[in-house]
Amino acid sequence: MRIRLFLGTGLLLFACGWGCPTAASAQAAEPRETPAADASAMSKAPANPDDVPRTIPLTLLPAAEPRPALRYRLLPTIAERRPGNAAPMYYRAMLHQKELPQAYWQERNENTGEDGTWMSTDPAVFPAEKVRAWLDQQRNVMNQIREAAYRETCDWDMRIQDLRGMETIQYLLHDMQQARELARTIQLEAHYQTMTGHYDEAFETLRLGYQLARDVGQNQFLIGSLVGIAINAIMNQELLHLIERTDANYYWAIVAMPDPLVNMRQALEFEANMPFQIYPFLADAETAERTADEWRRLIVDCIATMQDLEGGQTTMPRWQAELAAAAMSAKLYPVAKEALIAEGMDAEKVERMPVGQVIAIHTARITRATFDDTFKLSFLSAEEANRRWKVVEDRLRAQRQDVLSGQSGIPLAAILLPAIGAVRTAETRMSRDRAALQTIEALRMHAAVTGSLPAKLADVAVVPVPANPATGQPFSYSYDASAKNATLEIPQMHNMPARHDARRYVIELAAPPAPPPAPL
Amino acid sequence: MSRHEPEPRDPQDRELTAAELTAANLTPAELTPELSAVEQQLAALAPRAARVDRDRLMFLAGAASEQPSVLPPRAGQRSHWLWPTATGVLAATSLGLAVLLALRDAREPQIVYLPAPTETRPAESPVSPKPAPREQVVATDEAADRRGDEGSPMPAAGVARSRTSVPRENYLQVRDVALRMGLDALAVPRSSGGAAAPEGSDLPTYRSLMQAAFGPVDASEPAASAPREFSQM
Repeated sequence: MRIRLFLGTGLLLFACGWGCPTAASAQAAEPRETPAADASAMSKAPANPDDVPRTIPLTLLPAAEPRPALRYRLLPTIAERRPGNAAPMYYRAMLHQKELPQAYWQERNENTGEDGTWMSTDPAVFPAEKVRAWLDQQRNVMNQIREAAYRETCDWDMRIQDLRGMETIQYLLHDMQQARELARTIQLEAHYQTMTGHYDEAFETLRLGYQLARDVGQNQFLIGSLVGIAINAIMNQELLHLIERTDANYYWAIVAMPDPLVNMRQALEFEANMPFQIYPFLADAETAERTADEWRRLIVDCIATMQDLEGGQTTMPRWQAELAAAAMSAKLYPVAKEALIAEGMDAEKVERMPVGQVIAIHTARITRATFDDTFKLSFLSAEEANRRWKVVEDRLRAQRQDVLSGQSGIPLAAILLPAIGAVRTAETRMSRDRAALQTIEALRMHAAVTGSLPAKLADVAVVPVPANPATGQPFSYSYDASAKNATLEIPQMHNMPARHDARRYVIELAAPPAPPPAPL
Repeated sequence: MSRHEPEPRDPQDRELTAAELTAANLTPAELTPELSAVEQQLAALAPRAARVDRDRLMFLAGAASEQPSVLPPRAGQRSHWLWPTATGVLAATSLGLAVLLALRDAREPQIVYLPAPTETRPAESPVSPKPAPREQVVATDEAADRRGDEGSPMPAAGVARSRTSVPRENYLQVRDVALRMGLDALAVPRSSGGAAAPEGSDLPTYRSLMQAAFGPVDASEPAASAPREFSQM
């Protein structure tokens, strides 16, 4: 009886430490991934309103290829640029915006919301004078943005690859989020110019917006890339409004832009290396020479800060971290030792290594393999990546569910790996929307040559019609000869509700345009 | 000579042994006086009654198998104390270590302000720390633990890792919210605003700042006011 009591006390002490890492890993084991596009989503019958795509009527003027063909460029060309770094100009623009009072922004938010009129495309509803008065307060902002857009380079100079430890994730990114405010100002300026008939000025303003999207997207953080993609989407929205009103064709302007406009490769490389920046001891675990006590301290620190990665929680007390590390080491060490020997490391060398080093090497190898398995797909085209994504996702899910076995070492990948599926979706959606605009301009060009919309997309011969990058297949298109309109379907990305992401353009050709209204 | 040891015999004794065997066949008239006395003593002896209680013997055997301490300890029973002793020692050790850990936690990290490094970053080092001066937290027990870390890319002494809690709005949280729910789910930092800008006033320009600090730029311009410190604007 007494034996059982003493042994039970000892086990209880181990259980205290064991419970902490297993709880953290169980939390992190929740699925985070959102797979990318799947063409099968297009063919499903709608079961509820969210499955019905938005129908957007478009009345378009036929528009021939411009002369010269590259007359319109959505990004400043090399010849137009001036030496210098754009980032300081953007920061000045943000500072100017910061000076404006809260009531000013509130007025904008109220009038650009769902019931607002400032983004209306109905000239009878659009309050041109009010919008002009509001935009006049941002003249300095627009001047700085204009200056920045024509700079040769944009170097935010953050050097995030030099960050180590928790400061890697404590780095504030308010400037990237403030860039969205710059984009909304550009959008409103372009919208005003479009609604008042200043089409050339509107196009020029949109150039500033696309350049802003590209510059913000060059930021090494994934958030910067996502903001760049969002800014690109805002500009696409205004470009479509402009296309509806002008007889200029922007097909080659769209094609001439880099694809993708926001290259996420740098951000993804930073994400792939993040575990080794937050925990530098993993980077040189195989070669560093440290005492057993130093290795133990590093492992304890790693486990103690794992809760910090969730943010806002109380840092694990030191004694608790020590117990958790002891329990976790007891579990991980035999698994890690076996894995290292199986991978070819000399058994005697492994036996001589401190326990902490064995665990660190195993964790580093598994983390690197997991991250590489995930990020390697980002180097493929969207269509190729989508085909292989399921295999990777299943492997990740199995790894998360098996985290207690110790096969994945300290479960850092489960905590730090971003929802890479959502990243792929954002990137693919950007390409999809670009292809949709390109298709619409191809239809206008065809109509300018033949006098009518094509019966099918394959009939468009004047310029190439792109496929949907998400599926590799052409967009769904149909022509109603009796109604003399065409329907162009832009399907939603996988797992996205059709109402928010898919669009159905009902296109009809407009009569020749009336003269534009006199400028205000 | 013990009764259990065989007696040494010589040939003459062998003959005695044969004689002894035949002594049982001696008649009373042939016994020596000594032998007769022994015979009489043996005849006076009566067999003692058995003193072993069989039932109690069985009980004690069963009790000994359950609780060996019931019986007086013998040399072979010392191993019964081994497990309780070992378990007690281990439990006491664990308790002692837990107490030590609790005591170690009492030490607070010491905040040390360090000057920013002024030398340029070495070109071949891709992991040098950011040069901007920052408040840094250095735990008192960490400087000593950095011995032997020369080969690692850990930050240089003085640019130590922070042991403060990571704020909720850290990069990982912002990233995951943006990926799962979109950028609109993030709070965009609004301008601090403050009081509304006075009517007709513009943001300060270079000319107005220079005029306020040093007087009118152009001699033909009337002096607006006495030059003021920038801090008074």
